[in-house]
Amino acid sequence: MKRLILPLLALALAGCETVNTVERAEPVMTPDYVAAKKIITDPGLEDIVSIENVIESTVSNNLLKIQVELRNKTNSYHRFVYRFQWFNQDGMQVTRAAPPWRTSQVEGRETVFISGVAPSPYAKDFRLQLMDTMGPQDESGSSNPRARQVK
Amino acid sequence: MNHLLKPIALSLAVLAGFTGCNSGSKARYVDSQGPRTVVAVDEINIQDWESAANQLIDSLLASGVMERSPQQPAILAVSRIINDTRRHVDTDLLTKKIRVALNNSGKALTTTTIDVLAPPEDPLAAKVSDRRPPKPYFSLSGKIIEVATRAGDTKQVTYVFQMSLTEVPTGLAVWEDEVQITKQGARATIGW
Repeated sequence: MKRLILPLLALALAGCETVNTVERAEPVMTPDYVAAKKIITDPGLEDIVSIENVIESTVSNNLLKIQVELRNKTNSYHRFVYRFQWFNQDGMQVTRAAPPWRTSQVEGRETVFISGVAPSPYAKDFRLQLMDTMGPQDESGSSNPRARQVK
Repeated sequence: MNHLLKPIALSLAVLAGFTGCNSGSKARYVDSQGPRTVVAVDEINIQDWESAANQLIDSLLASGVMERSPQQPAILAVSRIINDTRRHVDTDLLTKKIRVALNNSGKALTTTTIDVLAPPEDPLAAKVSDRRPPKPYFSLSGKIIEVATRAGDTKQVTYVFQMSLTEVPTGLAVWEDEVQITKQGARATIGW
């Protein structure tokens, strides 16, 4: 029995590569937080990656920049894709019908920031979509995208 | 027992039929920037160009350097993009996306009538225009580098996309950034 304990312990710890972080106790930054509405269609992803906050700023004088803080709630490495969609004052999508997906990854318990800069000064609002990639798919496997939106 | 087996067998047959519709062997359309695209370790795939270009565009727009030009929108010229990979690639896959994004943002217009390395992009406009071509305020240059390594059956390739924006009047690089895309694997797969 004792022979089994060490290998089992090693196996259990193998998936636990978490990230420790250190930051200023009293931050001096004053972020402009955005109230976000979540539309969740993938509870599985919701259990893995949580949205901690959404902040906005203006860059290049008139372009909206959005930064989203995401936290991996699990102890294991995870990959996902995301994309920002941009809308003008009237709610019409700005410039691209299908904005590109971008890939990102988080180590266990890690916090990552993803950001997007509006493609045009006319972009006044945004929507962020997150999708679990579930790892690389081979030719025989078919992915079943599960989308999650934040607006 | 038989009355239970029949519906189960029928359901499995229907399920197999639907799975067949999504078979990987058939040609189908996919989103060029989506997670269903093919990933090849030793190639720069279409989604890699898109990813690199978008990260560079965000970085360039967020830097605010385009505002340095006294004339708005700024005039931009695309200079040399060195391909230091083992494959022939068309660097327009990177620069065109950056140009389009800068144009849409209203921050820069690209001149198509001057080129130092080859005939201008639009030779007709260069020839028939009565005006002298506008002098660019910014010049965009860059390099694409490939770094490959292997451990056992696993191959890893990193593509490094380096980009600089030079302010022509001063000759100084006012914005520079680098995007790395690393891929591991033994064969082509589908997905990010």
